[in-house]
Amino acid sequence: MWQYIARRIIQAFITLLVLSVLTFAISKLTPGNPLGLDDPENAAKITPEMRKQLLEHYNLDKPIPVQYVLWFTHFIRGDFGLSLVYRNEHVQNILARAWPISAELGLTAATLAITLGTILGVIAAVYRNTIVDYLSMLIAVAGVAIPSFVLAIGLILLFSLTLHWLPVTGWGTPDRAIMPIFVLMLGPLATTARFTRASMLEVIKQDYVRTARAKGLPERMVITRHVLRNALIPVITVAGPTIASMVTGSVFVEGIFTIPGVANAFVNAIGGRDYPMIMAQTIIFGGLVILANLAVDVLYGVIDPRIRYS
Amino acid sequence: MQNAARGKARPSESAALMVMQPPENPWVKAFRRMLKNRGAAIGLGVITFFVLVGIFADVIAPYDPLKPNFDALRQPPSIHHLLGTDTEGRDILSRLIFGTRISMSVGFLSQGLTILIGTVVGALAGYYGHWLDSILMRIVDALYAFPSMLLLIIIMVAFGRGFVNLLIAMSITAWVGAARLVRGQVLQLKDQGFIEAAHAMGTPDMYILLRHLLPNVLGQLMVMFSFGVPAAIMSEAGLSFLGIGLVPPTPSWGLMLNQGFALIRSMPHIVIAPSAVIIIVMLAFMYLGDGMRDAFDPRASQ
Repeated sequence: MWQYIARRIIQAFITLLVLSVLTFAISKLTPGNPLGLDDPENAAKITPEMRKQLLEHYNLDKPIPVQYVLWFTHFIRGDFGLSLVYRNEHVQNILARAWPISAELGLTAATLAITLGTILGVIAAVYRNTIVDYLSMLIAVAGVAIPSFVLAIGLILLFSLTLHWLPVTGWGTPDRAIMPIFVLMLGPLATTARFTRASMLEVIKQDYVRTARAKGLPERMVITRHVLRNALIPVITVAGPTIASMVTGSVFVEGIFTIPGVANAFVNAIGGRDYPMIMAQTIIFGGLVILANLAVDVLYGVIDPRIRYS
Repeated sequence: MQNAARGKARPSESAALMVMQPPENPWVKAFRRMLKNRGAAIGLGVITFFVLVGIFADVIAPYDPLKPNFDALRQPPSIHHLLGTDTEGRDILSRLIFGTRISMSVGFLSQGLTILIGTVVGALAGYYGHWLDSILMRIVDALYAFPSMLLLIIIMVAFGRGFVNLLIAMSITAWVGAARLVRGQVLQLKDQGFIEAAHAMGTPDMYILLRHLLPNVLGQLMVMFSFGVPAAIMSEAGLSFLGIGLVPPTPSWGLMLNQGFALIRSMPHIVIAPSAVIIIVMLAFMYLGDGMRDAFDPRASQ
């Protein structure tokens, strides 16, 4: 198994390398100058010497492959470069400020989504084709079908502007966290619930469950001892997509609720053509998703010995 | 329901029919199976309605979706403007109707392109293998590992807003799913007897791919398409809402949300109408997709 993990980690690094080259290429193809040197307004004020100095300072005067190598050698040493938008501040410092906020938001939402989603899925499967099942699946359908930005707008309309229960924007107090966490949570919750329900129904059909019932075990024991234990194993595979959906969802959530997290910094970085910031965030987000998928695959084999790595 | 349908024909009749008729086309059969699912049937109806609205937008829409009307700024819903007007006096209903055309075009065109690119790459990688497979699959893995929305954002900002850019950006970020699917199926099938037989008879590779291998993934590709269209519509709305999708004054649902969100305190009607339409369309596609998966790709729904 260690051999398998080692190979997957090497693959992950290659994937990240490809991703960094792709992102670097895309951001370099972009028309428009990050330092605003091409704005007619600024162009008049900037002398050729100043321009040269500025480009040199940010290494923008070198050929693009050289720029990439420079970026790469610094990056692996933990220096993500100078931000082009927040002048003279290092990207890693900006990210260090923003990450705790996003992590708090994301981890809370992810934990809630997976626990509540699993519970909902189990309940729906146990009481299948009853009103409980239909209601649970209605929530699940809503979570999959309603885009996060539409949901956020709806919640703001209802709870902030009509009922005046919750503040619209900001971060730091529990009442400000309710709506963002709910919006971020609902999609993955729905996916988890649907997946859990399907997995439960699959296991309930198995022969060993029939045997358990036939030998006279009470239904409660059948569900907890035989069905749940086997049905919940595949559910950990939704953890990977959940992390990815947190990353995507937080772009909208942090934007709409003006939360000063990494996703907000990412959108600002893109608007300002802040390459070092874009690169760092791309690698971190990509690494996060790859790591989550790897962790899920390894965990899956640990929990379910029937899985063999090859 | 199945029993009722079967019960209509008497045993002798159905036996006679079975003898006389050639076996029913599996696609027609799958389609029938899908329509038996009530959710899928309603979803298909709703989507057909929206597609028709999009096609006949010019005929249906009561006003010009682009022309500002300074005599009717920011009006709440009324007899003249059923859903009210926006900040420039444009009729919201008319903009929604033309927005349907935009959304449906984005959804269907980008998914068509996505499936096409994915199928070509997947088939080439799976069929020819070796170094071509290794290179293509590394790219696929890199794209697959990364949340496509973020890549979409990067590309849209890099190349600028607009309809064509959006279509291209969506297709080049989304094709990996189809590529993985097609490659997997081609790998699984290419060593089987009927492919070897085709090789032995000297059938050209292209013919084998198109006639023997691809029909086996068609069902799964259709299911993928049916889930991809709403995802693309959602992405367009999201990107336009963020201000990096389509260019104003295009009547896009996302842009309407963007405009409405800025005025959410004073004029919530601007944002409510497009939100409701987006939710209805998403629900319809989801039910249709689920039904299609059950009917056309029985393995996945088990």
